[in-house]
Amino acid sequence: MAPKLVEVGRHPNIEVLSYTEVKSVEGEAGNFTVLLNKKPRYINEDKCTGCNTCVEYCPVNFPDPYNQEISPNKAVHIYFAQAIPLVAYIDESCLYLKEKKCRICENVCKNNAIDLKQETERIEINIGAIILALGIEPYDARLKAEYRYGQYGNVVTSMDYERLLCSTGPYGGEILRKTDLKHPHKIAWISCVGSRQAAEGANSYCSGVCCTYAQKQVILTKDHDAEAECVIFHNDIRSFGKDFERFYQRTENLPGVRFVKSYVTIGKEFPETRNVTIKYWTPEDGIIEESFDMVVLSVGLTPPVNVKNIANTFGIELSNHDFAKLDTANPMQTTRPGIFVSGGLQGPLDIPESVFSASGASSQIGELLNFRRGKLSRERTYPVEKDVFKEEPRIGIFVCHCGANISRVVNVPDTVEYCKTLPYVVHSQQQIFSCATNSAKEITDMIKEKGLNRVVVAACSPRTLEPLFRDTLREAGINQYYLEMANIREHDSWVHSKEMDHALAKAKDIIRMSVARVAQLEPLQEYDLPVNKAALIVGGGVAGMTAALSIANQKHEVYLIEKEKDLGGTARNVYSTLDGMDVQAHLHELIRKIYAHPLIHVYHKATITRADGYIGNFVTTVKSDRGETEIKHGAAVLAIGADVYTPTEYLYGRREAVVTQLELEDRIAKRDQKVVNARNLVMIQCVGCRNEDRNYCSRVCCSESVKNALALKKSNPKMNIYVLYRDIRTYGFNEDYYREARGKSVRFIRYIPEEQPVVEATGSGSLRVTVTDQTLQKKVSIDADVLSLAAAVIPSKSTKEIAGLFKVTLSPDGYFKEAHVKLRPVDFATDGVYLCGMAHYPKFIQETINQAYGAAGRVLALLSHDLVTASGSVCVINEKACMGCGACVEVCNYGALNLKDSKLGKKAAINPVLCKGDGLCNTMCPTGAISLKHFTDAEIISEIDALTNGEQEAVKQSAAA
Amino acid sequence: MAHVLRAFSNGMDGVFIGACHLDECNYVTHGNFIAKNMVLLFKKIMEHIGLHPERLRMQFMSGAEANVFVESTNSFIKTIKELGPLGKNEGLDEKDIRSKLAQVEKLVPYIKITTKEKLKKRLNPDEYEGYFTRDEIAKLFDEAPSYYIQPDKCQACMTCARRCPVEAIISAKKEVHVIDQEKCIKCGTCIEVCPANFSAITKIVGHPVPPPPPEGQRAIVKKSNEKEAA
Amino acid sequence: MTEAAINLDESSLKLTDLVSAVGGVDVSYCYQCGKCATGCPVAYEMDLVPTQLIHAIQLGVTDLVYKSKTMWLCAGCLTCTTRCPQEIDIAEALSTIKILMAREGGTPQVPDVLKFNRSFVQNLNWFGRIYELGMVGMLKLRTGKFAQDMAMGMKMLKKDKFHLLPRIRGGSAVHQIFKRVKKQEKP
Repeated sequence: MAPKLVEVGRHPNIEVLSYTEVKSVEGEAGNFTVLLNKKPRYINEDKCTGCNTCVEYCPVNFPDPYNQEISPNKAVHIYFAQAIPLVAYIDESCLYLKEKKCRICENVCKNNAIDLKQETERIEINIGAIILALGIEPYDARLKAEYRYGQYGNVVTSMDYERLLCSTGPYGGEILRKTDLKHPHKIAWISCVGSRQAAEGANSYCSGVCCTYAQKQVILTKDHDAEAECVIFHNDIRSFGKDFERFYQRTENLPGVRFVKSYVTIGKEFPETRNVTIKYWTPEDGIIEESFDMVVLSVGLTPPVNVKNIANTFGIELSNHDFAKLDTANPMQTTRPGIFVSGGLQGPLDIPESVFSASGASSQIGELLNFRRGKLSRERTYPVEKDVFKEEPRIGIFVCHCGANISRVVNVPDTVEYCKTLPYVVHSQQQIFSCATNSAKEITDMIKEKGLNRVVVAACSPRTLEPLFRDTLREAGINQYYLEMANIREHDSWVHSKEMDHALAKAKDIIRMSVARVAQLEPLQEYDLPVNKAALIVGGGVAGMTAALSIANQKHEVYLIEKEKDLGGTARNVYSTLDGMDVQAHLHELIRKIYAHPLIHVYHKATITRADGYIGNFVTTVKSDRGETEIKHGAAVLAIGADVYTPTEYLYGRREAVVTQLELEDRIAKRDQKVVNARNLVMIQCVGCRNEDRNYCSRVCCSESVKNALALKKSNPKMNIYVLYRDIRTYGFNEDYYREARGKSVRFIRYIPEEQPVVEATGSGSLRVTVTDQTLQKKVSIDADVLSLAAAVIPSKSTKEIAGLFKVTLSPDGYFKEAHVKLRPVDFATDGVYLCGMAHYPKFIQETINQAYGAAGRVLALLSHDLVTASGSVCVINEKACMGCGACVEVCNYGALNLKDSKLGKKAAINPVLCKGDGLCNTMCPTGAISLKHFTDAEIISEIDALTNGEQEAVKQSAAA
Repeated sequence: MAHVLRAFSNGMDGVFIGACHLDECNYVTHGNFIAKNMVLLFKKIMEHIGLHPERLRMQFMSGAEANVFVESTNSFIKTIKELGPLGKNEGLDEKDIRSKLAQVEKLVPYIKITTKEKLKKRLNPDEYEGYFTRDEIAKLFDEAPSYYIQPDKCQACMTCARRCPVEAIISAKKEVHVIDQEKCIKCGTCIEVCPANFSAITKIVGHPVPPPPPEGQRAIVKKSNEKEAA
Repeated sequence: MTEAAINLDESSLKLTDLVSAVGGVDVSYCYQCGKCATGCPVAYEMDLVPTQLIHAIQLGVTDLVYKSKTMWLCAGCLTCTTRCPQEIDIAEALSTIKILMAREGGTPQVPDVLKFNRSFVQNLNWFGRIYELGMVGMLKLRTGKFAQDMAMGMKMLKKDKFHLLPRIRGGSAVHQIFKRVKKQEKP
């Protein structure tokens, strides 16, 4: 996540006001006046470089809130290693702030950045829209004394455990018990702490993420300690997300890991070992009390502690669970226009949903403020680039102290002198912190003064600041690819702090390698491609239509392709949602808006015959009710939805009384007498998935069954409804409806996959359903008049074909595979193509709307620019050396390579725009015909040679000495 | 492979490759699978030439697993310290190693071509053992072909010279073409493109290539002349 | 030998409704998490632990419910009720089953418990306060286990833990309460 933080920190159009709170919000959408209070850090942000010197000298220790107060930190410190801005702050435990004593930090700060007289700053800003991305907080386990958190030393929350697992945590990545600093070998996880409770002091909803995060913690624990025994105590495993079922199985299959279906009682603490006992119950073994070295409470998610004040300040309403009250048809819109939410304030949410709701909220703001687009944006301007290609390398080396981070271990002056002995080096100097504004300027000045055409910055990792230093070169008129960073911090001073001589020798090695490499580097241009401003959307269901409207409302042409003769997709068969949305009304409204919009062109009965091009420049050929059309567009959104499995089990298709849940919903809506007047109705969950054929969870079925059950009970309270389930996965706020269904006497009977329910047709026309009730361990049978199957959601039939046309990938279950499951959930690895809706994975209508807006946001991020820039580090082909074997083409999944005919036989050809620079083709090429710019063989070999030859020099020298 | 080779040729005692976990590669090309195969292959090559395969190690880890990195590098350093400087444990001296590695380096393009399908495959960890065998590698080396242009057949059409990816064929009009065996990477392009009615190039396995005709004695034997002669 | 399946017929909701009407406890909310069982101090002796019994009530398997020892062993400690995440008064539900069985003349699986209950209540009705010796006497007559607890009884007598003669206090007032309740309970 750190690169994203840096990106935000450096973006010319983003101003970060940290340690700031909102006091009041006046005005309306498009024109708000907001008063802010910037709390004093007691540090001058412009001067602080994040060197940590003050932290070293501060005498005050207090429990560090970042590490869950398990380990101490200083009164002045940077909150965490990747903080943006990378600036310290002084906590109220400071001696000066409390007693006007000390002031050591002021004296040791080399940049005079400490300002103990700082006061709260009041700032007024004028803005058009607001996004509340306030996040969630973990449930405070101290609210339920029965968990003994804070009382038994070895009962910890999952947040505590996260910090223990982390290498920047209280024990440096070792999982240790606070009581005796020993490793725990037997650990229990307790699910649903603070969630799924009707009682006071906890929340009735399901927090949705705990089941999976506990599994993650188990897997990481096993990585730390292969012999560890891990037990997860639960009441339903809610692994409903994409690939989560597999993740669950992966955890279950680890040796020494058990899943036990039982809520527990925390027993006693043994005074000597401080081990904790847990009492649990299973029908097979009865009541067991087991001792554990450590107990982890899987705490749920709650809104921020002061959410009611925040709601007041912003003038928005909250729901009954104290999350933001949202429009069911627009889960990002609060009750006050112009104020949107993204992420956890919507409700308990996982990362992918959070990310695309953020993109979605920004798309809605894009719609709101489209009339002002671009008026306030700032662009960077650079001087004209000098052509230094023909010059001999003139290398400048800047060795950074990084405050004391490097210089405390590596002798910097010695290193600077050494640099002067290296070939082509014409300038070498030290800097206290190269990233500081004045130092960066010094680099620019030196480049101009000394006519440098190559720069080596010996400092930290390029992951943190390469963009900054590349920028610095551009400011001096030099091609930015002439920069090389030698990491003598993360790779040297930070890991060899106890061996200063070796650290110095290694720093010299690293720099020598960088110097050899930088001399070989070539100037590279980044490609600027024009962007066609239109978007193509494949699929006219809720997802496609929502995305289409959002994009069109931001003044872009949209081509909406639908394979059926009507728009609407699966939603045509859905009538309601659990939170009361009238789906048909919403659908009609959407369709009406689509047809009414002047910028949206709809193609019905459409098939795609051809799809070519690349980001910003796609050409797609469509056959439809309008004939054959060639559409030029800059972006594509794949929203082709999903299908329903046609069951072969449980007499489906052979008895009229057996239906799927979607069919049942239809019959309820149409008041089919046979259904509404049934005496006994049975629902069977997990039909056709969570098995060998489809090893995933269809996510929506448990809630759909509850919804149908409630609807049936409403029209016929006397109906006996039985739901046969494996786990009830009514996650999030749907848990409330599960409780409501139970309250209305819907009966839930748990079964296990090894003992599937059996359905037989009886003579009298009803169906006898027999199942082994796991709680009672007894077989029960029900004579059902109607049997409803929660049939699996399956990928749309068209998925493979569309994937092939747009050159995107599929996940193991046959749905589209996004670029990154957490951080890029609506992008494909293929640039310019996006996805949303059930084509991504089964989901609810609200989630689809969330994601559709999210995809629209990403499309706008592309289409709002006139140009798109591709990296300069791409492959090139030396045709003479190419033997046409095609090895490179076979491994490039980006489709950047192909074989073309030439006078000298088949030769490889590359589309540099599609090249991502991973270099795999290089390794497969036998002749070295293809090379990756900025990572050529010559460049890499020069580094290897510089290391080893330099070593030999050192060995010779020491031998001679 | 070339980079790892270079390191050992330069006298490095050990090479450590840190890679992202399989299936977690940022790129959809998932190159770490191929890298693993390359390592499996190279280890067998190391065994073949008499170097201890433990001198090359590949470790999978994520950016969040600092502990894995620390443990594996420390354990690797321990292993290398035990094995000693390159060649010491194996009873080979510097020159020996250099020349053997140089031989391997020459064959890298040929190895890449012959093992292309195997290198591309995405293996499960239980398939690593025995994916490449000592015998297979020995065969690879023993049966490494050399290509030879038969002076009596070559008609100096320049095709092979033009198509040779590394410009290893010395050619001139009306002069028998000669393959510079030092430059040749054994890709087999020449033998493929030599016109069928000439078929001047042969593949030689198992014994050295005959020396080329000395300079000045490379006039081609024109086929038409032959006919007339006959 | 495989058991025959228990058929859940249309009257399966009857027991739940009864427990709700008589005891004021709606067991429908139970989602079989098992927490009640883990906190119950006597669950180790039970054939059906509380969560199983509640589920059996939900399914209306009256036979199974009435044949179990669960409610008779309940110590009334209310740990289950306190900890139930769905706020179900489990102890009260169990108590209600006992009442239903007592009314219908069902045979308890731990008969001594009902006999103790009857002895206690009867004693209370007669004397207004518990006359321990009389109550134990009635219990012994009902159970026939004369020798049981005799040793402990002697020790208690020596320590003045109970009296040889009854002390009647407010007997008639208590008796009135009993009469009125009996009238109200008449169907």
